[in-house]
Amino acid sequence: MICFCEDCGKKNQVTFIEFSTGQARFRCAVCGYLSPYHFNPRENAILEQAEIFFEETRNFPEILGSFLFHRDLGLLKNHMPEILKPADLDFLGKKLARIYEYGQSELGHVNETTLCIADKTMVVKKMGKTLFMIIACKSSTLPRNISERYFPPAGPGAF
Amino acid sequence: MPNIEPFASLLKTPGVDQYILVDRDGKIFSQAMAEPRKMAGFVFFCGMNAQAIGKFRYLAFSRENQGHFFIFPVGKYYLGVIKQKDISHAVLVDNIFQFLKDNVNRQ
Repeated sequence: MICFCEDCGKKNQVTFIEFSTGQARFRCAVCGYLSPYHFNPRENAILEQAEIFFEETRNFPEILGSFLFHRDLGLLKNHMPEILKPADLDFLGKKLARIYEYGQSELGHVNETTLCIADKTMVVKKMGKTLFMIIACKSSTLPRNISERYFPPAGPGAF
Repeated sequence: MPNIEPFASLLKTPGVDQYILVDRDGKIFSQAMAEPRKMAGFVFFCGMNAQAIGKFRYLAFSRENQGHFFIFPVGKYYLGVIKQKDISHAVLVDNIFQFLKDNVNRQ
């Protein structure tokens, strides 16, 4: 993602976003200045809904954690166990997003990808064109309440 | 290399609609699947990327109104399976694991 620094005006290939005081910013590779990063309206709506999702899924013990991943910018929001570092999640997000999108292009009509490793499952849901919600579960599928509320085919609470 | 012959009977396993077995170069060893060459590349690519994350048990693609697609690692191979519509995800996975246990892991 190409962005221009608000301070020095230099072009930046943005691959990482910081959230400070709730605002998305990128750090200029030339001068180090933190410039605001502007998500499109759809992405902003998803980011807001994601916060509600993270809060609600705390009440589901079968959900171990989740994170929001941007196809171009990497890890955006992290609610995974601390044993997993941001670099781990970035790697995981890249691989899972790639797998999902390849599945979509080759198979068509993919609405969920599930990767089962040992006794854990990573469920991948795509939001809009660029965002992925990745959810770590103990079970092979998402709890029905969560699936129906946040990921129905269409619905008011849906992403 | 696993014995390929048992895989011909994979279609008799409840829940299996189509299947393809590929090695880690994407070469087809056994298949009963539409567009096998395309699917071989797909299974190989996704299997390799899943393997890069860790030793996975299976990878599943849920599709609207179509048979879900599963990928299982089988030794140095990847098995792609399209699930029949009238069977659950969990039952299909259990049936595949049982098939592999009975026909492959025993060797």
